[in-house]
Amino acid sequence: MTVVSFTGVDTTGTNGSGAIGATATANAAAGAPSASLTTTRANSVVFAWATILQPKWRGLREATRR
Amino acid sequence: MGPAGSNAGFCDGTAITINDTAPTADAYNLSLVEVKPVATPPNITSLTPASGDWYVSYDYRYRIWNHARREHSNFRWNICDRDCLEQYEHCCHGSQCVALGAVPVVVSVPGAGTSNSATFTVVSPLTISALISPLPNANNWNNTNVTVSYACSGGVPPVQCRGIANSGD
Repeated sequence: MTVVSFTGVDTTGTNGSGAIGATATANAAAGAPSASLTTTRANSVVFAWATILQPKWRGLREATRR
Repeated sequence: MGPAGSNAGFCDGTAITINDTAPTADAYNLSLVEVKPVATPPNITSLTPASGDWYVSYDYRYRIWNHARREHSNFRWNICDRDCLEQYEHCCHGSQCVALGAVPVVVSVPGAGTSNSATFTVVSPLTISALISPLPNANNWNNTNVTVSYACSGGVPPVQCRGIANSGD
């Protein structure tokens, strides 16, 4: 697990939830996905990360479905 | 976790699209999160004009998130008057009324809070009133010549009173 921290963020709300604005996710079975969001505050930072689904995980998931 | 990135400095309402790159054979999940900065209330830096009567078109400038903004608005600074003549004056009844004198002006920005208070001063509108001399009798008749004097008061530049005009009848 990787932890990312930011300074200067909105720390209001429960456990600093005020720092989180718009979110979006997308996935692609093969190839590059694309995702979009619309910011809700000026000077926001949009952080993006991608997760590669390993072939063996896909095989396990498929096995589970069966 | 795969490749990650971030960008900053967008105004609110900006549409962001991230197109990732990946081998065509791999399955990907892509996630985006907006991380919001500290909410800084707006700060009014000017209010122009700073005074007026019943109707004012005014500009106000303020700063928010290190950006200077200018807004233009029309506002009815209605004057409370129980004896207001509806047919001839801009009368005000209810919570929208403001009295003569200082009125606080604030700017509220969703997500950022409320600004400092700037002061707008409501002054008396230009009023012309007629004075009759002598006054009529009990039957509301005058048996002598009547002098009608017009008195002017109030107003804001460029329309203000210059003096008193008299007319005889």
